[in-house]
Amino acid sequence: MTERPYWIAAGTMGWGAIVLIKAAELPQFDQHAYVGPGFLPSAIGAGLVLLGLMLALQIRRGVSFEEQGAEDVNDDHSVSWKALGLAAAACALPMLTMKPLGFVITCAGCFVLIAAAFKSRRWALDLLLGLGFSLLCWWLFRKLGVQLGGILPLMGK
Amino acid sequence: MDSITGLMNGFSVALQPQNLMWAFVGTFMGTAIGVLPGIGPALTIALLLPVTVYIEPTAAFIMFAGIFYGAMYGGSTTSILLNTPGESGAMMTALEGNKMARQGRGAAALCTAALGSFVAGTIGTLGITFLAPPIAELAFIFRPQDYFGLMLLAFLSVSVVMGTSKVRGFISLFLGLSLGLVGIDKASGLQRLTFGVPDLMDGVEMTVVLVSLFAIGETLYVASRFGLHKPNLNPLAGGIWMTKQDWKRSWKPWLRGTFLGFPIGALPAGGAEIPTFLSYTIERKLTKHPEEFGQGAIEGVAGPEAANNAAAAGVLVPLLTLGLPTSATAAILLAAFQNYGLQPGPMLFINSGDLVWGLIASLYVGNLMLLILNLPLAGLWVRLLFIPRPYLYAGILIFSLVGIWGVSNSWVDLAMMFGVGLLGYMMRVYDFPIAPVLIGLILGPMAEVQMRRALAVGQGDPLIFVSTPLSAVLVAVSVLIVVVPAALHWRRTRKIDPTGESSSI
Amino acid sequence: MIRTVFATTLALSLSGFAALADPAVVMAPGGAGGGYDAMARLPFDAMAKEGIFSDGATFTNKGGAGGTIGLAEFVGANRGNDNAVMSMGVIMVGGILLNSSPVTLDDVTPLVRLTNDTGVVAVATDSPIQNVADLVAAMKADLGAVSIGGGSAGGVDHIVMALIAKESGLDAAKLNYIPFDSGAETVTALGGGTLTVAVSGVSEFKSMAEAGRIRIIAVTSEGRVEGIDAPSLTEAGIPVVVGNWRGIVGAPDMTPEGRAMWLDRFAKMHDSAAWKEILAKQGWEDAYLAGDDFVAFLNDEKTRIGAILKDAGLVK
Repeated sequence: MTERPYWIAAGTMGWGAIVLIKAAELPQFDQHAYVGPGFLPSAIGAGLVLLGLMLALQIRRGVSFEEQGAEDVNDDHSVSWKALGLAAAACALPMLTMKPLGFVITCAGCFVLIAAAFKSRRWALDLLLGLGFSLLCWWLFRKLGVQLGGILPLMGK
Repeated sequence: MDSITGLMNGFSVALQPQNLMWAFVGTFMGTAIGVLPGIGPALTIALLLPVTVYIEPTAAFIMFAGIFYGAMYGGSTTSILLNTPGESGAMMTALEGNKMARQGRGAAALCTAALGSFVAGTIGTLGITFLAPPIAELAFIFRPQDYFGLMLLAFLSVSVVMGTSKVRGFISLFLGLSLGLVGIDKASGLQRLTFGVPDLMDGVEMTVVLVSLFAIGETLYVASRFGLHKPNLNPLAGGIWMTKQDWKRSWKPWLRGTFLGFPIGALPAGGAEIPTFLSYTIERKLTKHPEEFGQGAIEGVAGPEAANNAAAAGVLVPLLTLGLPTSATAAILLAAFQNYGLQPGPMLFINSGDLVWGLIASLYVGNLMLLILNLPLAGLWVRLLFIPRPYLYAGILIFSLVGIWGVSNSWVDLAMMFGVGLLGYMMRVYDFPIAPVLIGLILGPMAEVQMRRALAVGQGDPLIFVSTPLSAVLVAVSVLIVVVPAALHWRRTRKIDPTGESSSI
Repeated sequence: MIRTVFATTLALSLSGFAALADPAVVMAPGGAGGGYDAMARLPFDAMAKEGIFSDGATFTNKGGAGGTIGLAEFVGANRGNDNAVMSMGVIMVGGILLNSSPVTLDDVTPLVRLTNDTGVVAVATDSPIQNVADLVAAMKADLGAVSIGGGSAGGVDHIVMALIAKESGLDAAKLNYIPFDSGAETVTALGGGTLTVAVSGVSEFKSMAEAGRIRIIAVTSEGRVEGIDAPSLTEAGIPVVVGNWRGIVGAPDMTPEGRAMWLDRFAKMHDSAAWKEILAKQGWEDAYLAGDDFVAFLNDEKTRIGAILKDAGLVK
């Protein structure tokens, strides 16, 4: 059975429509250059809508979407939704914790989540490793002058 | 003759033991920091700028020269081994380099990158030594329409990284173009697609998109399809050195990359990206092994990597001869000069000849040092791939966070990392090529600015785009490259398939 | 030799970990290596060197949108903190208006203006335009044909040309103004013949003018500038004075004691040898103006810049 991901075509067209609507609020022409600030956004938005339509047609014709190869990928390309969820959680975590809990704790959390996504079961060891590694990064880069914030912002440090 | 005596004096300065030591410190730090996603040479030198208080100028510049070349080179390591380029200049290296690494030929890819950087750096430094004044003149010759022609040509590089489906390739490109629109329009001061978010006023941060699409997307993708029991490929299967065949296929791309990168790097609005795009396109068109492109062709690593480093050398030309900083890195080097009360420009060679020639000599030394440091390390870097996957990918995420959070401390960037990372995952699942997004994001705004500048100067006359010999040639070449293959293809399909239906579009 | 390396490393690590009593909280609303960054750090270097204020300082760089993003963060995080200061300048005054920033300079406590960078108006060496009168004549003949280069739209360079247009009775909104990302791009476009005229800071154009690439026809200060053979706009009959000045403001709701303390420190710093050395090294003009005088100056600038940006059609 061929998968028919119409939603990608819809997404492309949707984003194109947003670009078009936003572009319509801008002047299309300029007094000297003729090409104004809205001209290119209109063109790009229209292009996206058109490309979305073409993709929808292709999908209707049953075009196949082959996954890209990567290292260490299962030969049968079976997807572990649990692993994906854990990895996605790791990438979303900084949005929640970076400001209140600081770089070190956030990164240690990310470390554990990613390790778990890659089927590591020794989470206590992972936590320890993650804390150590995050602390090292924080210390080193802060010394170099990269602004990574305090170690424990909640305690005002 | 003056250059020769000057250079000899320079070497006598640069080869003093303590200066060699600074060159080593610089190259080492540059490479180490350049490896990290999102942290490039500009930021590295900016971070080390306060050192100028403590050490004398010659030593400081020798160290900066090392950092400069080291950071340019360092970016290629993670591109090749982990498919996570840290700078835009290293993106094209990742395309073929990572495929090579997956075939166990990572060491060869790293070697050709190191040697290519060395060749480009050395020729570039020779260019600085003997040709700096005429090359610097290019800055005055190039007009907006010439830049636009150059960018038009660079856009064609997209066509070769489109992957199997043109529609999906164009969607990637247009997505990149639309992201490039975000921010305040420089010509009118109006906001475009910012949705009222102040953090978006200066546009989407290119490194955030780059790191998220490549590093985060890759992490999510590999995690979701990670097979614990699949026999891992030995990363060293292809040896730790280049084969004779590799050498034969590498040296021409090195030279071509250098000759693209150096002059374009010397242009005020040139940059390192355009020459890498062009170099990749050219190598792909000229190769005798077109079937290997997309599967790990060594030419696709050698050319762009040389172009990237030659462009870095090119940036120093207008800085030293005219006192014009044309990139973020050069602006920070200029600040370093000013910290010592020096004003780069025509007078610098006269007033502080020793220092300048010392700097130029140390560019040679730093370059050689980089090669000595990295060739033996290539085999060692590849062993990074022996790190257990859970920790390797966790480490990649943390380094990405250093790059993304450390640069601007912006929550919006973190949200973007998540969103664009998911996008990168989906693009991998549904086989959308990634590079066109970045090409659109980088080239789109540049081309728009030059186009509107040219039109403003010409007061709206479209003929401005072919008004100089250079722009006319560039536009003509661009048109030919698009039209000729399309026409040939059309004739072929007409002959074979009279219904004219073609599935390639 | 090894000792130097060691000492440097040590000094670096110490500077990163200066755990002394109450370090100042300093915001630089621009990226590392830029103008606001230098304006935030260098006064503290001078104060530390002279022993005026040696409790150290923690610097935060937050660039973007003409400095308004850094301003918003500074105001949000430091209300009532007598120890918090921020570098700022004329670009921020314009940036607040251009980006309709919700946080403005009314929210902070102005302390001092420290430096100024005079602007210059220049043409290509072989340009038929010899002086300001020629420029105005050319603009009156065909405003669109005079392509003008400079920094970002609505920045000081644009303001200079808008004021010249206004004083000459022309519509500032109809200027053919082309913004460039850097002084390097502007000066090469001017020298190469792309542009008719360009505006930038003295420091960015001076060496190119000395090399004979471009010709400076006017400076934007009140009188002449030493080392530049060109009249001021005022002398040339156009009463326009614009400077790219920078200074320091304190946290919102700073106590009068806190304000007096900082004013005292900056007064001492301004008289010190270390500060004079920094001014010379950076090529900055001294433009010290403190306390209530600075507040009055700031208010004038806000009104003037607001009006001209409106005339130029950049602010509604």
